[in-house]
Amino acid sequence: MTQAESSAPVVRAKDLARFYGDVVGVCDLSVDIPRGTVGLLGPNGAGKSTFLKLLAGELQPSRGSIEVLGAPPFANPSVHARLGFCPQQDALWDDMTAVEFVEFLLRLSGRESLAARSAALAALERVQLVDAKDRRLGGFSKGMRQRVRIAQAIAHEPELVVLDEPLTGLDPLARHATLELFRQLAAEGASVLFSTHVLHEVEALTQDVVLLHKGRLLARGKIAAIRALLDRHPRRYSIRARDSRRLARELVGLEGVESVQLKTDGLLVVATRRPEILLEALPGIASAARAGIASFESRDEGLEAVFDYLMGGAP
Amino acid sequence: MKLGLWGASLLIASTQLSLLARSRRAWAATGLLLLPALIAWLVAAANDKVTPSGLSTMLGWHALLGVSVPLASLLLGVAVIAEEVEDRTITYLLLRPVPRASLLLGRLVPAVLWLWASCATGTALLVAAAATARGSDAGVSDGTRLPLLLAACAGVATYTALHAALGVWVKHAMIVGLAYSFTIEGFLSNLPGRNQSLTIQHHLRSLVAGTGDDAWQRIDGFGSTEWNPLFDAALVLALVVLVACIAGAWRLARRQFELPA
Repeated sequence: MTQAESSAPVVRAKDLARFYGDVVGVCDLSVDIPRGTVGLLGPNGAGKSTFLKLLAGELQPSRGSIEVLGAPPFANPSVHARLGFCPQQDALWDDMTAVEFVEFLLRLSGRESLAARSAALAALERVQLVDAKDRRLGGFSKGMRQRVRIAQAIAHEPELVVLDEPLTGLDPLARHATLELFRQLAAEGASVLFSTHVLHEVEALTQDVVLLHKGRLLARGKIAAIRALLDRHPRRYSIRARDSRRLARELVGLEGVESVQLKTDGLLVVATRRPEILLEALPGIASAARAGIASFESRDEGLEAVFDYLMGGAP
Repeated sequence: MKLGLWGASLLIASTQLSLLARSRRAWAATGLLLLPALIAWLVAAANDKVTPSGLSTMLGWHALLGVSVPLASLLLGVAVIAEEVEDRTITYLLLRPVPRASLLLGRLVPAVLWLWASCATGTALLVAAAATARGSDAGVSDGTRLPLLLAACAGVATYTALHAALGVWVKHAMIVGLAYSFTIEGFLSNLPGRNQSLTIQHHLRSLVAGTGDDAWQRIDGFGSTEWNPLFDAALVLALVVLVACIAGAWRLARRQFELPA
């Protein structure tokens, strides 16, 4: 790889748009994605999958252009030889065994029979499926099916690995192992681009993010900036209690609390600039007021909240 | 090393052949092609007057060529590409560095080979079942069984290629294929006059007429129909296959598939 190639973005989209009839998939998207590991963030319906399908060459732009590794990806074998794609859809050839599946796709990528077999086994080893290599895919659990999809995406050692919601369906152990695998791929020099709507999954891997919202580019940069945005706004918590009204009265005077809303269904929504004080004081207050807390959760952890902040509105 | 059209087609075809053996759809197509043999066996057992050659020509003409061959081909033909789209597995094939035409060719050829094997079995069993008929005549001759086998094999190749191309071009290929099979192939081919030459069925029957013996004369309207010369019929069928393959490959190279998650 020349120096120019190594500094060039792996993906370059310019005024990219893709429509499904009247529905907007992505619109006026201009972004350069550098080498390395990049998270594609956005809530459901943000256009992440459409963008990744355009990037992988499964779809063509309705307008604008996209280049992957320096060339348009649609029906372009030279790009596909250097790209690994893990689709979101849970679709496999269920009559094949895991090793047959990966080996067949490797052979389509141009590997000789023996080399394809050993590369397939190595890829299955990396996703911890080598023990199940001779089992039919139709009998695999959701998590195993996800891992075999990842295996086929990395088996031919592509320069760019594109993964659409790769952690969906994985249990915590497999999730941890998969994140570790992505780190290894990055350490080996591959660029990894993956989509998710869960913020902490991105944080576990990279600081570089591209944020999409309603098909448009919202931001591109470091994840710390997003966290800082969150910290600039009051944190909101939902509390369900036996006596919400009484608990609300007690919480109003607490330091840092900006507002307390009692919803018609009895749900209490508390906004505070000092979440640590609320978290520490709440058990005592609830106990003294005999309010009986049934549930407590943060309303700000979801990406929707981040996007609402970025769009300039309150969540 | 990147695979070319033929290398990729061969690889896909060899994998597809082993998958076909595990496919319910493929066995259903085989069942359709064996159905005339079962009917022949039942009729031969139930009716004292039916003759071996009468039964084999009648069922070969109407049941095998007229119904089983078009429907079995439809079943496997639309599956060549459309099944991969319905199953959402086409992504894996489209995003590999191989010519897209190899997907069509590599999946079409095994389907045709499977149907040829099924046709050979179906025809052999039909003739064997018809031979058990108790009516007296000269028996089932080579002039009956070989033209039937030839036409059935040519039929599955032509229809399968046509339906495979249809599967690339249209979204609901099975519905469109069924409509085509019943309205054009089923209806038009039985109308008197020159219009029937617009159907594949007419050219298949022309192959039988061009190579068969007198036993086929007992089919209604056989003697009064103006059949195509043997070479012309074979040429038309070959052209249909070629045009279907080219049209399908051309469309496949350009088509985007919007697959739901």
